[in-house]
Amino acid sequence: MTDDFSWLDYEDEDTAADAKRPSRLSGLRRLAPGFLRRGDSSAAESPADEASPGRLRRMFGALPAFIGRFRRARSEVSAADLALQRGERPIEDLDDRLQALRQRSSAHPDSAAESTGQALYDVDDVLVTPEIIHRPGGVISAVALSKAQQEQVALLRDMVGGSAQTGEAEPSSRRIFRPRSGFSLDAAPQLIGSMLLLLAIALPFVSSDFREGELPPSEFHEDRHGVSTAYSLLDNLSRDDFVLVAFEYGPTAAGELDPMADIILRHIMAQGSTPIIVSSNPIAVSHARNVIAKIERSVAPAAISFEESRDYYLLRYLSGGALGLRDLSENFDSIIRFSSTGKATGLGLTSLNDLTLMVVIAERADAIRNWAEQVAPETETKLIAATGYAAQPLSQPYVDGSDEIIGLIVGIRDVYTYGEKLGAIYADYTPDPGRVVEQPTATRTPTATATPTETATETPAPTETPTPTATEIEPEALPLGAGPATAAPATVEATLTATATAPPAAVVPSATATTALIEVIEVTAGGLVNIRREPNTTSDILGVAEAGDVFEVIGGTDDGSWINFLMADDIAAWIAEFLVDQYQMPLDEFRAVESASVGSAQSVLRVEFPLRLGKNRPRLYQVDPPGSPERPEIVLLRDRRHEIAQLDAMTLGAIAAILIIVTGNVFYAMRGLLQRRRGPDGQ
Amino acid sequence: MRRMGIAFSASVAFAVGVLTLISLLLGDHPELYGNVAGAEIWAGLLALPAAVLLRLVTLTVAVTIVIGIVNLLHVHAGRGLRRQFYSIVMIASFAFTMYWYLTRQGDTSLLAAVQVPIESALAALLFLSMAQGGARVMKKRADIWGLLFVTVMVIVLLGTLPLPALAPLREWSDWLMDIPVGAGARAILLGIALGTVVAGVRILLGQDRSYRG
Repeated sequence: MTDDFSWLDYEDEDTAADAKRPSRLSGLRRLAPGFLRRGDSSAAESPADEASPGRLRRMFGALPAFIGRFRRARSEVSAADLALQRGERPIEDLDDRLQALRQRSSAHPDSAAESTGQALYDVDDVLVTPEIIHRPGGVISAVALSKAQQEQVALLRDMVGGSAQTGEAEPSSRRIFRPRSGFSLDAAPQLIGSMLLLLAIALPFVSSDFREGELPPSEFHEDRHGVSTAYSLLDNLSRDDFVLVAFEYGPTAAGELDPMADIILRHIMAQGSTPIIVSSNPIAVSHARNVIAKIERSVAPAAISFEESRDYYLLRYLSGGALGLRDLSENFDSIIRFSSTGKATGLGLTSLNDLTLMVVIAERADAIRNWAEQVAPETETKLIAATGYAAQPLSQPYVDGSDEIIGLIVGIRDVYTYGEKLGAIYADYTPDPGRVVEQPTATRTPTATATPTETATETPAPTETPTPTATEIEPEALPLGAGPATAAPATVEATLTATATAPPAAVVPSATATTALIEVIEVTAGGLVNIRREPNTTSDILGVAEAGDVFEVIGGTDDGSWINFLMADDIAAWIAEFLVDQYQMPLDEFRAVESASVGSAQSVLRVEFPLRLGKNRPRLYQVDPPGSPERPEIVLLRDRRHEIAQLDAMTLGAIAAILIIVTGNVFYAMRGLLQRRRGPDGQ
Repeated sequence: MRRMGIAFSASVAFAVGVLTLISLLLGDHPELYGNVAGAEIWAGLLALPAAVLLRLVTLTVAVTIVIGIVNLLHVHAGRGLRRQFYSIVMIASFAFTMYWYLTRQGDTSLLAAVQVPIESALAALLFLSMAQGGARVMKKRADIWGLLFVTVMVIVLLGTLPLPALAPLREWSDWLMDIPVGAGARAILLGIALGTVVAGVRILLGQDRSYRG
């Protein structure tokens, strides 16, 4: 086969020795020298190769050796090579307009003139010929350059410090990079802009009068199912659960992500669970220790102290980036054996599946990508992703595209909502000054079986604590009438383990008899029935209910075909009328029935609709009833003094930035338009 | 001899790469073997090479960090001997931090008091730079593309503001973030994935030999 590009192998006299080197041949050919020789010999025998030297000489002239090397090293499919291969097109192939232009230019009496303007006949009216400046001396000035080019050369020379070598006088139009002494009017706009930004950011910390905009909501937006699910998963943690928390951020992002790490760690530890902290960033391991220490200082008034390898575990730095994370998933049991200080942890976990949850707090999308690719596919444990605003766009596709990753918790606005939600729930657990807070046992190993715990409240029977995991249920397994045949947990009462205090009244059904009647519906259809967001069958499915579930009615459609009711967590939902019976029930009786109903496995499903192209399959998560906090003080004693000021500073800073951006660009756009109107000569 | 060295290193890289690939794909997945007798044992054995090799890689990377520190100290020690001020400061800081950490086990207050504030302040400067840069987009190019860029930037920024009056803009901002930005993000991630596959294949075929230094 003839090599069409073989003429590129032309060896100039100066470059012959270099060209014989095999270094630019492909790696595959290096492994197979016989193949290489055959290929070369066939190329050398081609007619194109024999004819090429003269052609290249004509094209390039006598080129220096190093340019010859560049030519050989060039890719065979580059645009430059393809252009070089093209010969001149025959005149007949040219467009009619081009042929006419060529004839006119040939016939013009001054076509042979030497002046630039005359050579550009019919074009010089359109193009502005640059002013040629001839300057004596210097390397650069050997070439005639336009004024604009001269300025660019001067700028480049300034940047590389070349003016000293050429010894030229500095032109007046040249930009000089020197440290300026004193104030310059040129820098005034930047200075004013920076001062405005700093002022906007600082004012909210000085006075609460400088408040603009609304605070984030106290509930996550209903469209953000992922964040709600992440919160629920953390809220369902309980004693004996282990959560892997990945600190994938350094000091640079501490300002934004420390509050997020703080509240997530507090939530985990308040639930009585144990965080195991890892990182593929060596500084983050030390920084995590500081975050824990800060939490410990804040809960000192409640006589709570943390001890490493008892309340939390800090593992060694995972070297190797993505490979380190792969190592974690492959050799989990050996990695968790030692802490960051080299001491034995005593953890009895053997694989990632022994963890209840994994949480990644990442500064960059790369970190989330590494966890999504190297760890999440290797385990059934869910991964919650949290990040800052900058990394959100590149992190979101991983959350949307993977069933294993839940989130995305983003920035301090989500932290505020998280804190509000958590504070509202934990507010019921007012710390008792006289209460002795029990510390967890020293070394615990997770048990695969459910731990029987006695409830301190009046419950129908001693119950088993449901395993606090979020089990994703395949949507296919939930057609109408084909629901899972598992027995429903009998209670949702908070079960306090080994604490002397009574559970809060808000969680326990009131024992006070109430005779008021309320309107309820009871599901009568067999199997599982869909609960929807809107009163139509194309609406989102919020969950499913089964026969016997009872809900409080809050309304309905005019024709009565759909009923509006409150499902778990007081979420308003709709159900078709023919699937239920509607009647009145005493309030106290309803509360008892509702407890059992809401606690059933089928009616506390959370549904996510990930943003995907094509078929949009909902993800259904079975979320167990909220776990009871072991140490609510850890959450309640969180310092939130500057939280609102931070949010206000962010809002005011963004407003100031928008003002600066708009003002600056309007100014420059006007100036550009004026310059364009004046023309290139400035007249 | 040089050719033999190249062939040997390429062969080792190829063999290790393929072994790791097979181990990761087939190891610890007994369900892939169907009803083959001893599937569990085979799956466990196949998972072993990847686990061992990955451990070797992470240890090697950890050693390179130590080597890097030693090299850094060596370079700055040489400069320090030539009385270069910043190198002397660097050596002194290193010595002080080492002393602090070794004498106060687990105390990371230097990190909290020095490094975190400095790096956070540098990150905060980025906000000022971005705002100033955003104000100068039209300085060089006052054309339709500059206008489009600035318009999108302002809409997205306005959409982030928690002001009720800007609620309609929030929908535009969300659309911009979900559709064009989401598409761009996915395209970047696809590019990364394809690039990773191509780089892996090139290394396995011996076309890239970055491991030879």
